[in-house]
Amino acid sequence: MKIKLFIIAIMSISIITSCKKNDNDATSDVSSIGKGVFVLNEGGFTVSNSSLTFYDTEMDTVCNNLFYKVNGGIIGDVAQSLTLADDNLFIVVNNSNYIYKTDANTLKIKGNKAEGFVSPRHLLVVNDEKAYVSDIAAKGLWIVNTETMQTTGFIETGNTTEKMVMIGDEVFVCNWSNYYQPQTSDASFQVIDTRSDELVGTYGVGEQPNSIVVDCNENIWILCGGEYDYTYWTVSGAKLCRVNPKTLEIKDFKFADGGYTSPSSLCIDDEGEKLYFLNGDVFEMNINDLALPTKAFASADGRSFYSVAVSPEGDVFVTDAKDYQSNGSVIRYSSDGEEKAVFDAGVCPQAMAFN
Amino acid sequence: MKNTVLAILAVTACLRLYAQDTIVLRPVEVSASAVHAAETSMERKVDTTVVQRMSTAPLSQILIEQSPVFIKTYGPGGTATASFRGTTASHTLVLWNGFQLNAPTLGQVDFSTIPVFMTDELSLKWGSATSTQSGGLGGVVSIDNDVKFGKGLMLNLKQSVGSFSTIGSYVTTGYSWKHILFRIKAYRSSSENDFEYYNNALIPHQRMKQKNASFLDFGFMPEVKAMFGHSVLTAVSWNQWNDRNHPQIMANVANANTEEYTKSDFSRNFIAYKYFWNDGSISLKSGLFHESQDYHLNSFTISGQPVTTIVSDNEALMTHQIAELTQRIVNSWKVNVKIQWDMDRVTSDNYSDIKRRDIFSSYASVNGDLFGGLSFQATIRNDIVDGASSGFFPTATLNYRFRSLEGLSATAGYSHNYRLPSLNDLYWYPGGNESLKAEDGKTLDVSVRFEKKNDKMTINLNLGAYYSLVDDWIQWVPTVYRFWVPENVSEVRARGIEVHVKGFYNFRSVTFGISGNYIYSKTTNDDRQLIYIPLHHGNLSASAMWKRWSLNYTFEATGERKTSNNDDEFFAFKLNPYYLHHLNIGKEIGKFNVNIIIHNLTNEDYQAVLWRAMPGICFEAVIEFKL
Repeated sequence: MKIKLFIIAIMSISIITSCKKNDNDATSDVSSIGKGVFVLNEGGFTVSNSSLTFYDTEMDTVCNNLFYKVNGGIIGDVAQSLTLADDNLFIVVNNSNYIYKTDANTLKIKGNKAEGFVSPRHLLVVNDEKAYVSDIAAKGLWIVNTETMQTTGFIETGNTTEKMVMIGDEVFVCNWSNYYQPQTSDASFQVIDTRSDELVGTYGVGEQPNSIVVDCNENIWILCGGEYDYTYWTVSGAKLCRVNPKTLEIKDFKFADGGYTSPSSLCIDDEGEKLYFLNGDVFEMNINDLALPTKAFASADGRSFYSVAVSPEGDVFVTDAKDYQSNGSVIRYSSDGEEKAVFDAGVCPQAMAFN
Repeated sequence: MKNTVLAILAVTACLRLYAQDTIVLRPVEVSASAVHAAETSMERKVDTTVVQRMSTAPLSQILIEQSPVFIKTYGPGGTATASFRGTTASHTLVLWNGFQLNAPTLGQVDFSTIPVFMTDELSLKWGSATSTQSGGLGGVVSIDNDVKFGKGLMLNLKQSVGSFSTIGSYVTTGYSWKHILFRIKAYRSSSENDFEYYNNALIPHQRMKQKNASFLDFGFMPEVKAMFGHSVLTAVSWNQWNDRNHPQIMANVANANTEEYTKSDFSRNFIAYKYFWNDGSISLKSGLFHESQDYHLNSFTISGQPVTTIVSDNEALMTHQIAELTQRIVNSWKVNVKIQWDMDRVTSDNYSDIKRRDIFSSYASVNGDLFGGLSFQATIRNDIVDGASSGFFPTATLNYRFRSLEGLSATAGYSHNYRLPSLNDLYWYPGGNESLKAEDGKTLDVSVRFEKKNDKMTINLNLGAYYSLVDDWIQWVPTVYRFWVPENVSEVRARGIEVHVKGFYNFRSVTFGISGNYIYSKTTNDDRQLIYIPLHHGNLSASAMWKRWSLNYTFEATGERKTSNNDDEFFAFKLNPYYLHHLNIGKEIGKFNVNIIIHNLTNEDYQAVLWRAMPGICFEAVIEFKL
């Protein structure tokens, strides 16, 4: 026991002394994981260099490779998504096919990791002991007991599954890709009753719905990336859809065909009023706007914007994957679009969660 | 090949004497090199005794242990590619009896699929010695058949059994008359490859068994050769099948519901005719190669229902036509002229349609002695690729033999070569880039060699340095389209030092031998060392033979390698150095030869490629019967 305490003490000192003031020169200690943002760095496919970064928004300090420093091992291959719920931080590791549950305050792994998926993507906590896990290669959603991290069931939906949101007792999930299941839909969303864990409906939407949020009016917004034309490397059919979950009425906001980027990474602020998404640059749109924005909130200017998220305070965080092989960075913008800070992250910084 | 020519000349001379009078002379084999120093100063042969001793190993293993070539291996039964002097696997040209083996799709060769057993001679060439064909910006690995006339019945049976259910059976048989011979080689090699390793990609770190890594290889190679008058006719057919399972990387062992494998086969056939006279020869060769490769990735649900099925099929047909003339012109001066037509035709699930490439090459070289121990070689080559000229590529080599110290010589060379984009670079869907330019490489070499021989010992020391500049280096880079595209991204500089030592010493009834290589290789783009190219690597082999006993010890060392362009200390961005020791103990008992081989004697835990498991200590027993 004493040895364990000693090891924990040494590891804690190691974490404390390894976090740096975000000015590239000075270093500063932080005493614990405070208020800030976790950034999950996806890493390269089969390279297993995924990592976790924490940026303290108050202290302006950044700590990279945090998971490794705490747990003495790597996250795995292609870390896909983060879910922060209560004091738990769930990390879905797509190509390694498992999910870690960690303590959000210490990042120490809690219990066993959940396994047995095919290609897991996102985790949505449904209640105190149940979560749904989407899968890009399996036709449905996995049910995971978040206490034991055991897979307890599978909800057959007939399509592969991607990002999810929950309203009341219903979960809405995007059917983004049919790459691994060619006979299935990649242009719909589905509704699951969380009380019975059963599919209650499938509804058509635009091509390749990749992200989904709920606004303050409890309308659902689904961003559809459209189809690539691999001959001309252009995108067509991309659109942003507003769905009334009660009437299932859909309002489309169509992007122009022939662009070279596919819109992605839809997110919404804490008030549920401002939408943000990527389409090469970062765009902002009010939920009451009648058309898609034409002016960028933040211009990429040659950078490889990879993901966007909004903090509870309204700051907009945008990841820059650079060349997708070297370490990336994250840019912090104020709600006015003013650049407030840039901090280093790992390879392909992608998912973000605010502590 | 040069030795073959000399042997043929010697045999022919003997036959002439036999025909003229009653003196009967046994054919003799001439193995000494009579070619000019400038011609051979940038090539090295691996000892045939080593080739025979390691005949149950893949070619990659013999190169790791005995050559300056760096091998990037994914483990037993996994892909193994070779690179010279800090270049990449695509810059290593592999020739089999003069025919290119580099796949037109990838531009590389998987050395794990070439058994040493199928070769008689193995040699390495670099610098200006690579100029006979395009592609060898780093160097050339040359494997050749060399079977002699007049040997009578040939029978060699070899059986190997090793750790992880590894079994190999090898048969060579045939008959060699004075003017005609027939030989066939056949083998089968398989392994469960379920070795135990330490998985530090999992939390907690743990020992576990490698899964889905088994392989089965088999093949045969019939060969006929006939000599009539001043002519030699040869026909060889190399046929092989490789079934390889691909294990998950160490971080992904939870993917028990995934299977990944490749089934590949090839048939490489050629016929060669050679006519020779006192001071020259002409040869005509025609090759027909067919290769196919089927890749499968299947995944299943826990209940066994198929989820993912990815199949990728490639099929390639290659033809090669070569005509070559060698003629002494005056004194020691000799010219060599070669024309060659290569055709590649590839069908692939990853190409939009059938792709074909035709290359018509013209090559000429001249070499001979200048004066006072100085010899010279110059070559020039031009390729016409699909009707367009690629330009002219010259090389020049000077060699000087010091008269003040016998056995000491120095060489300096310049070479200019290029490498065409592979068909995958051009046509892969999605991402292939048809506007790619060929890579253009220029190399300067200098080396000093010292050789000394007497009754008791032989010593050979070689110290070399090189500087290469490759323009329009092709690299696959990520794009906004979320798939990768090859581009001519940069200029890469490779420079380094090579040290080679080899020697034998007879002490009473024991013969000691030593052979080693050390390579310092700095290859940079924007002052950053390229990934997977170690600054330092080397090997050392020591042997002792006493009566019918033999003992061989081999040490291989590989320095730290970067696995990404990042400079920080996150350990997944670099691979630690590793040092391996191997031991081979052999005993001849009558016509039998027994060898016990211990690989990785110190049970080193290491990774040659990031998160690819490698075996610890393992054993192999080989019993050989030879007539």
